[in-house]
Amino acid sequence: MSRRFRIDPRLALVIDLVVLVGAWQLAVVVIDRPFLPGPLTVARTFVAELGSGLLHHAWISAQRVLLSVLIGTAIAAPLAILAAENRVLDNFLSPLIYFLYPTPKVVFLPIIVVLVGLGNPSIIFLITLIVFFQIFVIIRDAVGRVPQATLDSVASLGAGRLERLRYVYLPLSLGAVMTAIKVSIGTAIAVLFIAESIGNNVGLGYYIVVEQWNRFAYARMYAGILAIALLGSLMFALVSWGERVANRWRAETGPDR
Amino acid sequence: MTAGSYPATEDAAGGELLAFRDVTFGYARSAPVLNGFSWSVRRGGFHAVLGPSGSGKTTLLHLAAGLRRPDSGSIVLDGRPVSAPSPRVGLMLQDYGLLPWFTARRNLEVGLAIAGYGRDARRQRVGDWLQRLGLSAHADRYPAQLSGGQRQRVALARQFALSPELLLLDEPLSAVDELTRERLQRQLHGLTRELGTTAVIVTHNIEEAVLLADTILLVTGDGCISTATELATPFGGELPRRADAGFQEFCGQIRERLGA
Repeated sequence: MSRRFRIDPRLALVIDLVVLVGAWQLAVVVIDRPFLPGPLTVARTFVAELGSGLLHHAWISAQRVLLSVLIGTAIAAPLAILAAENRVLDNFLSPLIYFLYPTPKVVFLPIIVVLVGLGNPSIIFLITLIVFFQIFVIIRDAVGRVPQATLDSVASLGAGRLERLRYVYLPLSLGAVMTAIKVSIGTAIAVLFIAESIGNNVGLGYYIVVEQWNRFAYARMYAGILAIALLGSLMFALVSWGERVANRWRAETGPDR
Repeated sequence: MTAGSYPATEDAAGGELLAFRDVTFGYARSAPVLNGFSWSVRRGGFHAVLGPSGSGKTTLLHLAAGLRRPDSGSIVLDGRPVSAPSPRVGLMLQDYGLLPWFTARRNLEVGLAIAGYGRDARRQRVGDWLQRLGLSAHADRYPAQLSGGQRQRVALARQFALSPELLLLDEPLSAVDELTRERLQRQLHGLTRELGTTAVIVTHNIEEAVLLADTILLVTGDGCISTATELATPFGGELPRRADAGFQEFCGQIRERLGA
């Protein structure tokens, strides 16, 4: 008789951390070079740095990502709903999307810098661009899949365009948007890092590359990496929670008897 | 006998509520589904449209609900042409048409909000109808968390909360088990009687048509409705017992007519 092995997820998390930190410490011992400081050193530096600027850099970076996500969603959502409803518009937009969606937007950074200027404008523009495509594609597909019966049902209640938007497309898109943001957070932060490291004097990318790496301040560089990792995880957790709430209705609990 | 000579409307307790007048309708690039079709629906009656799948029954309901417009001919509700959906006409779709992202309560509210009811009226009607259909305990569940019969009752509650004059039902009970179906049939019959709602039910189930309806429109399965036979059921509006010989015999007659 085989019994399925179970473990408390909190215990699993602790084991994960122990293994991760252990492996890190082992690597430090084996490699023994200044560019790889130990976990304890980095943790101490991290705490010290938080008080002297790191928190501010993280906060700026967080604001940039949040603002980009908001702008990207605000532009993509209405366009995607229009495209899903209007075949002619979709015929024009789809080829563009298919061409541009898989193209890494970060390659446009030099052009964007020239176009909108260094610092906040180019950073936010670039991340918005990435988020825009993800959200556009996901909402357009979600709205395009609404069963005709659902549309007939609200139409038979006398719903016009605005009510269809409010009662069908928006609640349906909300979950899809959360999924899109969750998927694009990783890319957004990677791009944030690159964009912040040039021609700009604040943010985690700037902190890691310009303030520390360029000065061989390895412990502080790792503190920055830790901060960017934590920021990413925090955002990911928040969006995952939002996604769960927005998709509550897709209950897997099954019917209540 | 064709739909042109309405035997069922001659005993007219109420007048005509809905009429199809020489209606022709077809979907783009396919043969017409309705061709020169005329039909009259008596106010206060319970009418069944009975026929096999793919015979155009659902299209007929969509036209009556104003979701589609006839290519020629006219559809008239209470003397005025139907040109768009109206809150006077309720349509209950095959898969209930509930919005899966809203709870049972919110589904009822949305119907009322679209029909223009104010906040207080909405709250009161929603509460009343959830209770009447025994759904109070399930009000905050999503459709996916409800059983087929419960979903069905939510859809019914949503329709009745809007107090439509004409209720159009598309195979409303096809997806529920036999016992639930019988209970819902009694409930539906009772509610339409009590509220004086005119009902048109589309079904492929002979017993259901005979059980619920005063008149039955028989639609053949050749994919185009032009003329259809309409029969009056002999039960005088009372819900017959399935085991009765009369009921079984009448079902047998209809089965023969449909060539089953």
